[in-house]
Amino acid sequence: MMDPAEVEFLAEKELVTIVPNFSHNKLYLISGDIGPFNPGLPLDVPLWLAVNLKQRQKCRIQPPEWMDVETLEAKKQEEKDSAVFESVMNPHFMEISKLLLTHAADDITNADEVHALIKDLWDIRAAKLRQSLDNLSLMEINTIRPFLTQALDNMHTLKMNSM
Amino acid sequence: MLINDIRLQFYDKIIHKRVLLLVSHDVDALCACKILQALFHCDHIQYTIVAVAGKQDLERAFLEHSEQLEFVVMINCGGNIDLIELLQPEENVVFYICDSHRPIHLNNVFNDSQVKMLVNSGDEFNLPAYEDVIRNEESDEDDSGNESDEPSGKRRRFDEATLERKMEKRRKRREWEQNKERIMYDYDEFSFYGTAASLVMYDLAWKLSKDTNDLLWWAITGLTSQLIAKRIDREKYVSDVTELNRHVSRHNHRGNEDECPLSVNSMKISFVPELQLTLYKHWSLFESLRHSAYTACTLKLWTLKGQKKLNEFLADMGLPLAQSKQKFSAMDVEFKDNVKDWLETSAKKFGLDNISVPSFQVQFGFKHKYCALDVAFAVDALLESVNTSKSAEERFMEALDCLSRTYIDKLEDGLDLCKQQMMGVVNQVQSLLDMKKVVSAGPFLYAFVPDGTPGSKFFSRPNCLMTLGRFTLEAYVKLYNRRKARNLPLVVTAPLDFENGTSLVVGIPPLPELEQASRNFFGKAFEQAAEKTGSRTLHDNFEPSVVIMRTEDRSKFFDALISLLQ
Amino acid sequence: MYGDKALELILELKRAAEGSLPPYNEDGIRQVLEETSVLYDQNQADVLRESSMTGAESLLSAVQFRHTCLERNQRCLLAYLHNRLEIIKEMRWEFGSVLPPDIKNNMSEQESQWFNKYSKSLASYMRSLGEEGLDLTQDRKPPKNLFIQVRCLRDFGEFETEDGSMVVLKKNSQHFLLRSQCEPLIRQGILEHILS
Repeated sequence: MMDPAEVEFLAEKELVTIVPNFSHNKLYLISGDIGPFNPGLPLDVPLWLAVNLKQRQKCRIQPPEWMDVETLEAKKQEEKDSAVFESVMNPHFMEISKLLLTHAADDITNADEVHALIKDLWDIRAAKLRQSLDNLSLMEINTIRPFLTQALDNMHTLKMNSM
Repeated sequence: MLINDIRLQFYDKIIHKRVLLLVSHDVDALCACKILQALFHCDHIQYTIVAVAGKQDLERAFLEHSEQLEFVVMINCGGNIDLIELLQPEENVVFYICDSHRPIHLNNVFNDSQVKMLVNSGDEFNLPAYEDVIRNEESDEDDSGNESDEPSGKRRRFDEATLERKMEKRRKRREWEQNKERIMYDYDEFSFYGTAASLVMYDLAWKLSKDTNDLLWWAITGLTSQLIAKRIDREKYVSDVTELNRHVSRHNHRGNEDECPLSVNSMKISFVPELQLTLYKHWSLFESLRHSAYTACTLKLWTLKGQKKLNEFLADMGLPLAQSKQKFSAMDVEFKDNVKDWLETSAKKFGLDNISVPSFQVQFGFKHKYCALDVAFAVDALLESVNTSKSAEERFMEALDCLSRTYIDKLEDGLDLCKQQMMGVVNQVQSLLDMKKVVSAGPFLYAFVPDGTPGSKFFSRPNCLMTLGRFTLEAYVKLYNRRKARNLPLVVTAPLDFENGTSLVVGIPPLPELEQASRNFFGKAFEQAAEKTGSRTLHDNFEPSVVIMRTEDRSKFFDALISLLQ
Repeated sequence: MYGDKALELILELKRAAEGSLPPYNEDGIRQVLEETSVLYDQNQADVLRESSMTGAESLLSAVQFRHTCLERNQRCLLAYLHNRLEIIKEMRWEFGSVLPPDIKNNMSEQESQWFNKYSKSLASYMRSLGEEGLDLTQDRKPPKNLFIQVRCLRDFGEFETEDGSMVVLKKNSQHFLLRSQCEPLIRQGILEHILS
């Protein structure tokens, strides 16, 4: 089981565009080179760096294209109409929006609406996830049971070994 | 040494260094400290904050924390005392002082290597010329050195000439000394306040382009606290407000507001004329009118006639009495929306011309909406809380916390405390007037807060005692309307520590002086009176007109003060 | 009833507040062991009797029952000891190799020994990582900031920072320090994390 903080940590590797207000040479990081930074020139940096720089008043963040009321409304409708899980804008859309809305709300147009839409989208998908487990017939449960129990067994063995 | 380019001469010097921050117990200092902290967080400058209530604290904190530290920043403390003399620092230590206390001690001004005063470039200091107050000792010594080098035979021959030269020199020296004394007297006579420390710090943040609405709000709170403590006159306040309003517009008016509204949770500041009524938005209008110095004194609420007048005033506004005693937030919407306009119109008829001041209000989220005056009052109340379970440092930290949005709940505590304080003040004023306890000593009025009265504990805190003093003086002058009293200052004492037999003494300048320049001559007067009589006093507070005294020495101290001020 | 005492042990551990270690219940354990050995002796006697005489099958069900009780006692004891070890292990990560005295006093002799060994193995493993070793107990959750604001809750005295300079931690002073250095002191209750 992963801690939500760890999932967020993974999401922080996603790239976002920022507009720095300072200049700095290229940064050489394990995950790749970033920069150079020039005042007013947009560039892509990992989310963790973007948030850090934003907190220190060193940049403006350009929200991802999908973080926009129209796109999100369309997405929400699509998700609502469909019976299955639709593809999302970004696998980490929830974590990214949470971080950006907390730390850079002033850089996002209509932040409150965006916030509400993201939450709606999340709720619809969560409902789907829960619903799909209800209303299962005995036979259906039985077909999936071997997979689940085996998975649980495997997890148990792994746990025993790790001790 | 005075520093104007704070970015270049201060910030760039301490970046990447470890800094000791000594912050005094006042709202402006807290706000300046918050702004500086925000800047330090941006640039990862490590720091230690220690709260200092007075000179003794300052000395102790410096001794305890200064080891291995080269950079000490002081906020609203240290400027008006001879730091090098008091702290005896190592030679590599540099003090950066952002202090609104005036006058600045001349040894701080003329020390170029270790003391750097961060000041607003617009302030005037009326500094004496260097050569008028500091004598170049070396040249004197050189002279005497040359003399003794001369062979003794020769010397005798020139005796008369040297003697004359010596006499001439001595005479000049005496003249210079007299001149210096006069200049120093003029320079030191009054204590007053310059630009708020929080404004100086905000200016730095702006120059570093790290200013945000949060920082701006702290600057506003700091400035407002100067107004409510009457540290600056209205003219200076208005000009500083105008300056801040430029920043407010820059941060809060982005193009086409309707198209892309800001998130509710973002902080929004707006410029509004605000009524000078203590906490009326968090109290009832009736209580607020009773507990605000301006309305209470002008309407003379101490008398039955005055209370009638208050009812007339409310009637004139068209506000039912029941509504005015209702909690403001629970008042009918129709009244709540219009009350400000009505009040302003009616106020003019009742001689309350200056009821509103230009001010600001802030909003973030749906719940939190505050005006600057109320926040400044609340933070001060937290600082001066009389809860005995909290040490001075704890009160300081609590007040520091309540300025950040994360701990905004603590501000609500401050609002409650402030109400209690104001009720204590008003009750005390009423009883001083009723019992005729405000007495003229000739050159000044005085009042003693008796020990053991229910509210007396509030007045063991300097700001609260000063509020009481100003309130009492204004009430007295307006009530008796004697021509002579109008230009008299007031000295108030209150019991500080019954067991140790100590009292707190503050001096309030005459009203015209308070209104126009906010200058106070009591600092020097207290010092001299204590010296003459050998009274056991402690001049520990950074504000010189606040003194701690042995209660038993009071009468001889007052006798000396009378003869001094006559 | 058989097994009650063992259950009592388990409940005691379960009721303890999160992050604390209740005192090692030596008395309880002894009672469970006594109960177990009484059960064992009785079973032993019955089995002997059963094999020596005919028509004593009726004894068998009693033997069965006692055996189940005995096994349950054993399981409860193991669960008790195991879960205590888990708590102690977690504490090594939380507090480092030196435990606060109140926790130490609640440990049995064997537990102390186990803790010391575990602590040593963990330390030597962490030393073996990389060139200069790696402190795995730091940043157990992904950190968000390099520096944090902390307030001193009691006098601690001088504290040497990573860059070699000294910070005096005195009650009611506030500091802006490297998160990694503050974490252990926050866990010990000397510093308090302040949000901005």
